[in-house]
Amino acid sequence: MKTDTKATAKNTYHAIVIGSGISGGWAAKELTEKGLKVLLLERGRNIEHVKDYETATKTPWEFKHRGRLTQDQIKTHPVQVRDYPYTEFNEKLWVNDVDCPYTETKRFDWYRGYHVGGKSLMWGRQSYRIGDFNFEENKRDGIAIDWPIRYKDLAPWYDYRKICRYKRAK
Amino acid sequence: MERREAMRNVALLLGGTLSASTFSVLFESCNASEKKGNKELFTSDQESLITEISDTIIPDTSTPGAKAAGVGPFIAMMIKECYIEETQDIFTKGLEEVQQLSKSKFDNDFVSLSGEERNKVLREIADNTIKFKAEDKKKEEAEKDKNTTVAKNKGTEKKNNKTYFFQLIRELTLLGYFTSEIGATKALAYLPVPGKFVGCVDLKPGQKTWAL
Repeated sequence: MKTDTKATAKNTYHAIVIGSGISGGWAAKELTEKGLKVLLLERGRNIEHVKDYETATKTPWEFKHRGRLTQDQIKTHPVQVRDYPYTEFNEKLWVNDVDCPYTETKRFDWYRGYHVGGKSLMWGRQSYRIGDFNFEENKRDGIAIDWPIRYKDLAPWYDYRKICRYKRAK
Repeated sequence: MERREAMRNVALLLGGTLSASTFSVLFESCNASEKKGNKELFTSDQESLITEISDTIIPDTSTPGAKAAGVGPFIAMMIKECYIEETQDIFTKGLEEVQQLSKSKFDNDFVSLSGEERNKVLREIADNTIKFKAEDKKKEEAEKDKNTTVAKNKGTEKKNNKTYFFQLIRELTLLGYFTSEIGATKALAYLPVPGKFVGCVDLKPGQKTWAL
């Protein structure tokens, strides 16, 4: 009989992160960089840099519907079609809503993709510093709920991730 | 005829505006009725009719036209796969109208007409579309005046998303042609990787519009 006496040690982690998206991905990166042994679990496929960007270098005429969705896709993706990003150009990145149902008592638009990187691959790629003025908006106008935090609470994190203020292009 | 001139004619055919009706079908999924199985939506006669209509809208000029660019089969495929049954029916009825008008005006099938005759048929269809659109808009506004208070309170004001055959075939002709290899690279200027953004460029004589 062969036994791996180190099996338990090999499979023991300081942290197990479930999901490699914009939150999980960052968490795993931070923990790993701090020297922790981290296991990152992701249910979706791996998208290999460059090699798996199947549509990136296609010409317009190589897209059968020129980017538009078919009625079949609209039927199988009733949630994903509620906003504009799901198109023929990136159709493989989005979940099939029929296969991934959820209960929606109040409308909840859940845009999802299952692959390494999760929604960090599908977001709008812009993230600005919100100013103090914005955090005070609700209170000032007497609407909705006052933000529980102010700019000073986020500022160190903005600095940490180097999120810049809007600068005029030179 | 120069390509530029042909394009001016296209714009004039329907008041120079492109509507949102083609796009709006994307958001009508909730009302989408079941498709007619896998049956072909169009007969081969209808598909050649579509091809000839598109080729009348964008004919051969200094560059090849819609027929050469395969726009006919493209439109047939798009109507079948991307539109709800209601729109498909509007489209099929529109094709029949083109045929009927060709027969009553020139006693022949549209596909057998001369270029001049085809233009006349499509011109009449386009004029009718403009007329119907205006009438529908008037009706809609009268309706709106009646219901304004109710609608505003309920937030149920509706926009006219009615689809018209000619508008549909014209939009799909333009889409199909200018995103085809011939349309994008010969009628337009095609630059696959544009590189840096230049905000202000002087137009040179004969500068073509950029492809997508």
